Amino acid sequence: MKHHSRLAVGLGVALIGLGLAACAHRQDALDISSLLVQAEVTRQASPPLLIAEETPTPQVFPVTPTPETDENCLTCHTDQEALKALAVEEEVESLSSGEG
Amino acid sequence: MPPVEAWERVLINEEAIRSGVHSFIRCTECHGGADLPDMAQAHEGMVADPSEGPDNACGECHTDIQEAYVHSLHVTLAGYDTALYERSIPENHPIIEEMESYHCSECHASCGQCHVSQPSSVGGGLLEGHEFVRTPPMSRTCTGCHGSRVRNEYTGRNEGYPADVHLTEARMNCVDCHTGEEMHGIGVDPTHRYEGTRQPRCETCHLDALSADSGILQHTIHGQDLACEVCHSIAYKNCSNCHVQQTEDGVPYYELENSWMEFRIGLNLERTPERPWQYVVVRHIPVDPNQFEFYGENLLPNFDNRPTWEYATPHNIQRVTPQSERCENCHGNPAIFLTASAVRPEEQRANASVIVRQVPSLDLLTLVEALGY
Repeated sequence: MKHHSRLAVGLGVALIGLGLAACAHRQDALDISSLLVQAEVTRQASPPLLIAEETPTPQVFPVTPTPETDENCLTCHTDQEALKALAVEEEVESLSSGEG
Repeated sequence: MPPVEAWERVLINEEAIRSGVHSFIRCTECHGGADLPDMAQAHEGMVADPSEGPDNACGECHTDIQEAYVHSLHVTLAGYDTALYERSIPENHPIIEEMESYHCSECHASCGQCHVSQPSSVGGGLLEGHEFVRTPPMSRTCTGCHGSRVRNEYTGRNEGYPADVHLTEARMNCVDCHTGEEMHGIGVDPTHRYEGTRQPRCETCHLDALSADSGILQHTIHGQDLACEVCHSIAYKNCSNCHVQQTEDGVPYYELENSWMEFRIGLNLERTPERPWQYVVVRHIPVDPNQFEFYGENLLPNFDNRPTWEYATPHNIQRVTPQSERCENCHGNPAIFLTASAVRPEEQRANASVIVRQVPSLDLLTLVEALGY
């Protein structure tokens, strides 16, 4: 009985050893430590150049701050009574006949 | 279109003129003249429509539109030249151009004559007190010019004929089909309105009705042989001619002999990939050999070079028409085809290419074959 127990323990240790050995040789196993290094490198890399810094300063066009118009024109053309008196046109009788 | 009083045509809405991006532009910057209290002095050198002509004021900012727009038919009126020059000879072109300047040139559209005022050909008049209207109002701009045919057909003003289904059922406006892109031109110089890409296209909306599995038997049978209007339009306005003259005082006017409602199916003169149909609807256009005789004799010596019954796209579309109701309403029915007997004797040669010599019969065998049985 004692002999069997030792054998089982031995086999268990051997299986664990084999398992560890197999993991150690896997090519695609994740190397966490290297990823951490890469991440650190990425963090430390210099920031990309801002495109805006290479663009010439935009030209500033003067913008009239408030709408403006020609007041004399507007005064007359918004005065309905004045227009009724002034905007008179000569009536031209059309001689055309039939649908156009 | 109801008449607009002279004062009303130039009455400005102050709120509109003082707001929006255009409020940063002074009146005189576009219209010229001077900002003075005296009317005569203020109007000296003033331009009523600064968007007209090569110095289009709108084009200074709206450069993208301006680039294409100057080529559009609304500006060039090239359709008139095409129709007349082809019937004439180069020696007559200067006289024809002079005639056009009196009788045809008014019928063009500048930016302002759609977006600011009514077209000058119908007397002008500000639309919304000089507000810049993004979408031109149909009844005051589009149909102001396109009235006697398009408006009357579309709105059902021809007695006894219903309005277009797109209006009655969907309340559609001109611009729902005719986009700004189409109106502003695409940067090429078309010689007439049916040249190049077909715009608008029925199938833009009705693609399902045209597909092979639409379940619409007539569509399956006729496929690419018939323009949509052949089955879906009804009688439309035809005009005999348009004699132009001037009074002793030099006032131009025209006389139209007569117009009538008629529906005729003719042959498609120019079958292209865009318009591949064998049959189309044809309309008698207002032309006869002597209509410009006020300006000179025999100005259209090659009158027979173009049909007087031309391909048309009536704006009176119906889902159900006599043609779509029964096969025999078209097949074997010369009354709706442009047969030789439907054409005046003096116009036979001009229309030889569009006259239907043999009216399609109701051949059951052909029908069965078409269905693939």
